[in-house]
Amino acid sequence: MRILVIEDETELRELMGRALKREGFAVDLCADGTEGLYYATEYPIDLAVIDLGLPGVSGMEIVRKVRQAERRFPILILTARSDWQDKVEALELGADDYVTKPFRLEEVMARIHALLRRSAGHAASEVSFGRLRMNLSAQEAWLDDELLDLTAFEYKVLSYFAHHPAQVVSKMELNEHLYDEDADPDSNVIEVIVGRLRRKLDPEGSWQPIETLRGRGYRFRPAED
Amino acid sequence: MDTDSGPPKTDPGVSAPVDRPSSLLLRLIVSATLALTLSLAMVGLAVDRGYRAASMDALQERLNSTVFLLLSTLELSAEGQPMMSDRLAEPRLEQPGSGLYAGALTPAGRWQSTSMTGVLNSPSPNVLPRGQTHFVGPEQGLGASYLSMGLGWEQPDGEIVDLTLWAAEDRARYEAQVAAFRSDLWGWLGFAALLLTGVQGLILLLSLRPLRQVASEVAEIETGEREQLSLSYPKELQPLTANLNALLASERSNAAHYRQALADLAHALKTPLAVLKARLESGESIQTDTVGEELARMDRLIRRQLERAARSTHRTINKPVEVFPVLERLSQSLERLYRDQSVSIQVSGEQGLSLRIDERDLLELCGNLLDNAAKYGHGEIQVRLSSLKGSRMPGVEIRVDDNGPGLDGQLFSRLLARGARGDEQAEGQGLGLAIAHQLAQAYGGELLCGPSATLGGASIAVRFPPR
Repeated sequence: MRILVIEDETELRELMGRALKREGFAVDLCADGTEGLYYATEYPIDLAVIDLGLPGVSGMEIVRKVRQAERRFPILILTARSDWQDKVEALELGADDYVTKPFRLEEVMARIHALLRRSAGHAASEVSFGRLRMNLSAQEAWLDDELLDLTAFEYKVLSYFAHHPAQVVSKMELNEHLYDEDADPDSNVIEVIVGRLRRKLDPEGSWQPIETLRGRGYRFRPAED
Repeated sequence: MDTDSGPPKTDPGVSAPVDRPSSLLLRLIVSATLALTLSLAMVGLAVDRGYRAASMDALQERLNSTVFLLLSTLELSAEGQPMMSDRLAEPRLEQPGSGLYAGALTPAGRWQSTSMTGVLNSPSPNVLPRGQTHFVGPEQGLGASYLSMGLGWEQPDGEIVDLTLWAAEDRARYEAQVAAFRSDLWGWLGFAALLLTGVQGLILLLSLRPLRQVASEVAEIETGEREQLSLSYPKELQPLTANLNALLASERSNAAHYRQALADLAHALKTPLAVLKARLESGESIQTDTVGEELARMDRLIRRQLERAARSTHRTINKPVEVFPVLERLSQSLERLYRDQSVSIQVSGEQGLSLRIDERDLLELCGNLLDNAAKYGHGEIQVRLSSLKGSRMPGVEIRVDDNGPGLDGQLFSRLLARGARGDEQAEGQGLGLAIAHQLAQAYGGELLCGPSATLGGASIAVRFPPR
């Protein structure tokens, strides 16, 4: 999943960037509103963390313009002010949640996971797809109650599938959402990872949770329809 | 070379020409006097005009009577020469230079009254055709006004002779009369104007006295001789003085609150600082956790005290804010925030109700109550807005009911008390309630707690009494 962070305080921005990468997200960092707005409207973002007090275009303005551009990804607001006026205004413009500064990074991570889960239509952090069970917060997956041994990248791909069940996901889309802007992905990597995931999720080849659609990409259909 | 091409700099020692503030009293007196003078002048002109017209009519009437007097005494000789058969009944016609003259003209000759003797610029009317009358008034610039009348006189032999009779009066008489009237008229009008201006000035001085009193009392407040404006002002000024007094009281109380908050903050920060200092001095290695905890504690304290200082200030003058839309905005925002817990908020009640409150404060107050209900209830919230009857402005009650475990009355009072002290332990529900309580108090309202009759959980009401 690809997260955009728009925050003008360098220390905080870098800190959040490192924490998000540790959690397995692809991260884009922006220091001012104008650049942030460009990323938010032009890049395939899954969630944006926006500080309200930004130089250039303000945080509120970014939220408004993102929603005007019909971008529906969840938005988490960071604000130094804790009054309801700002919260209500941001929520009315289309933000989904807010965190008041100073905050604990764990809290921000928890809110980000909750928002991503919610945007995928999952109410709880633990979700199951037939024989597969996943804890999206703990980043763990079980097959028939047996913990799967997944690498960080394998989990990233599986998690993206879990957030987009029954949808066609192209290789390009996976590349865009799993790598940040600076990365130079090798298109074969995705194929290799998907192959490994298939072997781990379906060692006997009995339920085939990841379909390949020729020329279009993959579809995650874990449950029997 | 550096040349100064910028705008001319003003010398701070030399004060720039300032428009002199004009006095309210002077303005009123000047404008009232102008209006008065103008209206009296117009009255004077109208009366003068009327008097002159009436005088002219009277003069014409007098000359007419003199002509008929002449006719009653006149006779014509057989040759047609006019002559007087008897003495005239008007003695002024017999007295030379008396100012009243008369005469008769026929084609055969003329007769003139004795009063014409020695008069140089006497009128010399011509013979008029029979039946015609001619009047020359004093305004036509001749030395005298005159009236002449053309008649036919039948002689004993039956011949009709053309006869013109005339009477004249010196212009000086008319002018003296008008001048005497004018001097009287303008004299009295001038006197009335002076009197009225004086009375007006006196009235204005008396009416503006309360304003001068306000100014001098404000000056006394500035020098510290007085705490507030006195209460004995006329009805029209009372809203102003009452608002000024409220503003002064609120300023004083705000300053006191800020001082208190700063003192509380300084005092409260000393404990965590002392802990860190003691650890440092003891030579023990300090755990990151300890520093983190103390920093978090200090951060909480700073936030709490700043919020408390801002909230406990009294607000006096605010424009009315409609409450219902604010509640609806909040309920939509909270439903969005608590989507995962599927919180449902139902807002009902009187839609047009307004409250004189800063909108930010109303959002904060209701936001905290609703947030508490969403956090501690089980998803169902009812908000009801109702009015409390009052003489001038109705009161407002906002009641928030939830289906949570409810809130014990004693615990409620303890939470409010902790919040009021800025107690560090007032976290969670207590902090939200304490903030709402302080905000309600700042606007003269109160917070009440009881069991919810409709949903079974807590029912928290904020009530602003009617005025």
